[in-house]
Amino acid sequence: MPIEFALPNLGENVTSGDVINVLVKEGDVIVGNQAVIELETDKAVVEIPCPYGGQVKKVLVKKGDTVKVGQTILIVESEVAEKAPVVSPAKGPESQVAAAPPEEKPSPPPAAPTPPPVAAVTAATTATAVAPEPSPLVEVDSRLLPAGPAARRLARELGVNLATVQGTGRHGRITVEDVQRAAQSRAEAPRVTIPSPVVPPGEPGQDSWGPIRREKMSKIRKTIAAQMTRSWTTIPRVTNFDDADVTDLENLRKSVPPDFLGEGLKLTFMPFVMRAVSLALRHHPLLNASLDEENEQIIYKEYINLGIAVDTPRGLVVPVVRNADQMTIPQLARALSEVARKARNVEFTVDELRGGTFTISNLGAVGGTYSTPIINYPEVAILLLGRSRWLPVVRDGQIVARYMMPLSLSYDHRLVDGAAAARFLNEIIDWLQNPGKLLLVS
Amino acid sequence: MDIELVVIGGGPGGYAAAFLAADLGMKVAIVDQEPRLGGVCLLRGCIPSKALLHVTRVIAETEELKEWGVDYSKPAVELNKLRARKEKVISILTGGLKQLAAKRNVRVIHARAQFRDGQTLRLSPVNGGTLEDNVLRFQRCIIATGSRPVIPGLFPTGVDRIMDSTVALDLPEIPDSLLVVGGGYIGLEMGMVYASLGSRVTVVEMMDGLLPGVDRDLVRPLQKRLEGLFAAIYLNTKVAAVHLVDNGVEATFEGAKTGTERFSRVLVSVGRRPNSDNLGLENTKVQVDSQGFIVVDARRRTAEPAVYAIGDVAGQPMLAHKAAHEGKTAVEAISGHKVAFEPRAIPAVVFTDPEIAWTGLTETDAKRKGIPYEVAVFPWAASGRAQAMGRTDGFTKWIIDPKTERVMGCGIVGPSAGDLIGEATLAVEMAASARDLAETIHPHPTLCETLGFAAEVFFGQATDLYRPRKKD
Ligand SMILES: Cc1cc2nc3c(=O)[nH]c(=O)nc-3n(C[C@H](O)[C@H](O)[C@H](O)COP(=O)(O)OP(=O)(O)OC[C@H]3O[C@@H](n4cnc5c(N)ncnc54)[C@H](O)[C@@H]3O)c2cc1C
Repeated sequence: MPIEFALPNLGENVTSGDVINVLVKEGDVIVGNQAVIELETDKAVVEIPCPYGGQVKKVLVKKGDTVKVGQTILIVESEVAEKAPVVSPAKGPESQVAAAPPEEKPSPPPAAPTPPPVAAVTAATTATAVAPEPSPLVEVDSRLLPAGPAARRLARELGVNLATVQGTGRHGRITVEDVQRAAQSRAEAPRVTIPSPVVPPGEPGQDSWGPIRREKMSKIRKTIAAQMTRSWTTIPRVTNFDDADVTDLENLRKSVPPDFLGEGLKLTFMPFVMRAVSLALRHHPLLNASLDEENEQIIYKEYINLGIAVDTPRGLVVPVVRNADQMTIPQLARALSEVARKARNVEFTVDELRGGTFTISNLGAVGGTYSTPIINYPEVAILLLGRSRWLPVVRDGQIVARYMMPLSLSYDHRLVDGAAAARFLNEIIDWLQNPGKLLLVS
Repeated sequence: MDIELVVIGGGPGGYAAAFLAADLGMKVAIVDQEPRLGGVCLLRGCIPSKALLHVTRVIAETEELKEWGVDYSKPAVELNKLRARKEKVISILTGGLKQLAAKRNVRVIHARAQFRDGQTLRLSPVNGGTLEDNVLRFQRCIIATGSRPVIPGLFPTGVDRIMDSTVALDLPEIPDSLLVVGGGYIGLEMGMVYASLGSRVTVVEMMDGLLPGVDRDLVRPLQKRLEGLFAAIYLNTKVAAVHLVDNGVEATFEGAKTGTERFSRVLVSVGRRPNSDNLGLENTKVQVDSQGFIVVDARRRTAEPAVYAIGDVAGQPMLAHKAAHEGKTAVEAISGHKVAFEPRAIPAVVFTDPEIAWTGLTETDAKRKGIPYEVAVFPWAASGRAQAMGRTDGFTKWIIDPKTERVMGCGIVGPSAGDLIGEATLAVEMAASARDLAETIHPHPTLCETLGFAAEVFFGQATDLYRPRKKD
């Protein structure tokens, strides 16, 4: 029987989203909880799983559409209703209820299965945070890929799509080695391709001076634009520039053996900076506050939640590391790698982007020294790290080479005066220049 | 009390999960309301039933020897001794589990567990036991609470003449007559045990065949044998009413068979229901489907991020080996591996005599789903080993993809079918082709040879069988 699958409630304040990708087409057979569209909401991109299995009769949305909660996405010809409600005896123990009176019978198949409540949806989307969307339970059929359990397991671990792997084993069987090769060639692939000129996305068009392309602004871009405009038009912003001598910190960082904090976890300056900022915020609560203009009050946050600006292919996002002041440097390193990974893979939930009290933006990996970052409203300050570089510095009358990290601190001058900001920045610099202290303080 | 991983339920799913987690370095506790580890499978399921079926099989073999000129006298059964010997099997195995848990530093807490929220369990003592702490906070939890028998309301409860599988396994007596309600695998296995010990057994099944859902050709040899062993088999028949009478039970039938008959005892084996109720799941985000199964994703994670579910409580098929594998998947997922529970084949075995076993795609499923397939059957009458055992009622069949010639499923009926299905399962998992099986040298004379021979049949080249086929 045909069942309409409508966009389920996606949680707090999310009423609609843009379809980035339709993952199924009419005629496809899907299993329950298979992801059917990729949806971009205000802040996050989520895969929307359809709880019903069956054949897709109609797809009512297309790429680029804005879909509201409750709007029908698909019509599925579901087999659920035909399924026996009891134990399928083929697989299960004991047989059908032979003589069950009505009250003992498992409930009859509902006319349309009730869609699982939101929780199931969020679970399915957050599920991607740990593993790639697990493919549905494979039922044996003639289109099986010829790979054994070990090869399939490795493919999952390495993120290799088995359908694209050429099997070299007997009768085309995909071996473990085939999977390894596929993973390797994928890793090497970007190195051999010559960068081709970038064709911007969007629809081709023409203006008075030549060809152009028009692209619909993505939700995330619109959100960034609105947020930046709001900050720019409400906050009288001032930026202080300074440098921290991180030569000692750099030596310390480099002396930590690789994988010491966990396999694949690279120790950067960031966890140290996060620690230093958290400590400094404890002593400068004004920088961890926000302004309640309406009631003319200052709200001091007794928690320290650090927003971390992450550059993703879809645009800037700022996931939050909560209670950062209660974390050790190794914990911060792990939390950071987790949020960065999630942000890049677009696996975070909207809630993970909320509740920040202070933002750190690190351009060190990309390049550049100073900048004038825009404050992440309603926060009152933001710290931007540039790329550290060796500079001639005068120490005790001598010119010495020191490794210097450029720092730019923007702050809301309505609340924070220049001297207060400078004192706050001084404290951060002091922590960074004395890594021993930074490690020992609790 | 705080713990990294708590597993609720010490059955084959639960202890497999807990042991692996401990091997991976996690701090683990198992909570079970039973004083002994092993769950349904070990305490009142797979193991005791197989111990009794072993006895059944040997008794049957002594009878088979008559035609070989060896005559045993009718066996005298000492029920107390039989019960104690079966109990010994259980206590050896559960004792072993206890030791394994101790060696791995897995804490075993004897208590009933309920969720207080998505992060905390409330523990209540059972059988007057005491607890150090009745609140357990966990980082991760695996629900492995299994299932229990369904007893439809028309059967009075609290009466020893009306048994479920647990009571039947305790062998309270050998009744003169036994009505088995439900012709699924548990009913038939237990019916066979009682019949061989001397009870007159009648089976009633609502569907039109025994073992509903299993390929009919596999069931036929068993049905034939049971027709000789059992007093009666009523198909397409329901029990409409039961009345307790002096020393017995009167059952009224409805359907193909009508009327009322009297039995000393009744075994109700109509299905099992997942233990997802009374767990406090309403205090969590965990979702339960219309049949009571906990809804999980491919990694066995529920809608509550820190909670996983495995085994009978997490869906069909309700089998011990499926529970154990799911348990391992859940633990690996918890420890950060990208894993999924996506078997191609889960073998199922009915431990009757003859045994029936199948794995991967069945013919019934292939037809229902419209999957093209071919079968290749090797009848055991052509097997030297089966002839030497005097058991030629079995056969081995492969279900093969005609295009790729890969094996998609296998069905076997005959003695030891359950032991033969392992090779077939590996073949399906490895996407072996019929050629792989035909060219793998099987030892002679064995029953496992029939797996190779059946593959040869596919190519029309079986040495021991002349059956011209198109393939070369
Ligand atoms: C007669 C019979 C024969 C069978 N034969 C076979 C067979 O041959 N092969 C096969 O594969 N399968 C067989 N099965 C099925 C098999 O027993 C189950 O599939 C298997 O036991 C499921 O394992 P599990 O780990 O999911 O749960 P279980 O083994 O059911 O264990 C669950 C445990 O959780 C405990 N528990 C439940 N709720 C709570 C709570 N709230 N707090 C604390 N503890 C709790 C229970 O006491 C129990 O010990 C048979 C079953 C029966 C009844």
